[in-house]
Amino acid sequence: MESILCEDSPRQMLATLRTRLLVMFAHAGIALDESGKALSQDDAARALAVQEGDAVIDELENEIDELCLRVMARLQPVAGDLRFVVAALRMVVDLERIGDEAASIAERVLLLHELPIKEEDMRRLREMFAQARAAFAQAADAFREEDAEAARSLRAAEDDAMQAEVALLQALMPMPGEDGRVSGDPRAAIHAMLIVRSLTRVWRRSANIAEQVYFMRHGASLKHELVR
Amino acid sequence: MSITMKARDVSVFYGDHKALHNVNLSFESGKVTALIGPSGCGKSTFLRCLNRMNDLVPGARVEGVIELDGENINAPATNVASLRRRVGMVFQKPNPFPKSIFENVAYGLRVNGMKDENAIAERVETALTRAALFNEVKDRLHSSAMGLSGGQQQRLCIARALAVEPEVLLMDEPASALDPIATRHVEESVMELKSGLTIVIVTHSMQQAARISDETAFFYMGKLIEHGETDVIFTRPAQKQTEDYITGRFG
Repeated sequence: MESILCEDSPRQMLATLRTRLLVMFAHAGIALDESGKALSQDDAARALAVQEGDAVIDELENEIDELCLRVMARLQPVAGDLRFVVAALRMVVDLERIGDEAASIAERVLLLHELPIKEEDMRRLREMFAQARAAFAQAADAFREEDAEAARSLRAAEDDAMQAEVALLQALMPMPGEDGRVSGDPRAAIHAMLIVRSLTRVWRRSANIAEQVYFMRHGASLKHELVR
Repeated sequence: MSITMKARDVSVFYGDHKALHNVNLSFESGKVTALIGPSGCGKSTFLRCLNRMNDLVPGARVEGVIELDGENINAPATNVASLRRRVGMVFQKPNPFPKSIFENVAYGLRVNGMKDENAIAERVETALTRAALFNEVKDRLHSSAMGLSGGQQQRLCIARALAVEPEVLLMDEPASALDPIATRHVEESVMELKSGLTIVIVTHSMQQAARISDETAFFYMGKLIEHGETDVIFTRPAQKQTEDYITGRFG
């Protein structure tokens, strides 16, 4: 049904901003899912598609930035509307970087394509991918439902991500065995470790997004609460 | 900060109609307080209580206590002319007298018995300077005030109110009839003035309230819904009604 609101009415502009953010969340989520499948299935075609799709996320960032500027200039929002626009400006940066990390994982998949990777290492990567993906899904759900408590429950995600990263990097590090020989291909290990770095960033940026959802609802910073 | 004016449990009746319900609000020296709310919410009614302008409205009755530096302004012994010298007012539309610029500002001084022309000239210049108008009119002080632009006329009215050195300045939508440039001039003069003065301003412009006030009070249906620092009211108001009004979701 055609909207009865004129395109540039204040409510319509804010509704459009929210819709475009949800679209960007969806694109970033799909990019992550596809990069994960490309990794698990060693699927080069899928990895290439993820890299090409990153341009759409970049365009959405520009579009939402522009929309935020128009909302600020034309509506001069206050209170909850103002917090929403400020949070949107911050969240698009995190979403765009999450898209970049998905593209970066895809690039590593292409570079790993010809290299042998131990099944145990691949299992560990899949586990960490699932955790980072779950954190992103939780942040996206918190934004969609405007659920500050769900956002708050992600406040430990930064620490979780750091701990997982350290544990996985130690596990992936090629170490000489008792016979003095290093098992596995060191090149594959380096690509796997760079994937771990990307997943850590996805996880931490999901925590950033959750902080913005909390700020939108309460006008307070979870980050500062943690510092205290 | 010292409290200059304090309203305690103030209600206003027009005949049987209760237009204002038990308002408690204090105004600090050196601060600008904006009164906001939809038309008919009681903010102008409340403003007029602060210098007893409601005395002029037939059937109006004020209950409660309004203190100016600890004295009840509604006490029978209050000299209303003296009160209005201490609590000046600037209205929505500029209302200069059909006199020269100089005489408009000097008027209150002469009414109050000042005769020394040198002292009057000094006070006129000071008031025009504080109202950010002196530089624009210093070469034509004895020309008619009616030849000034709308924004200049409004600043002249501010200067006229300032000349008698009030402690409190009440402003009832002082920029609503002005263009954006004149509005900016008036707003700048308000911000310059607040040092040493208590300013209470009624405005329908949320942006204006956000720009120039230190404190904001939101009125709705004759009640004071929320009062607090402007930074807080315009970023995270406590009451949903306040949020709905300032974000335009009312009605």
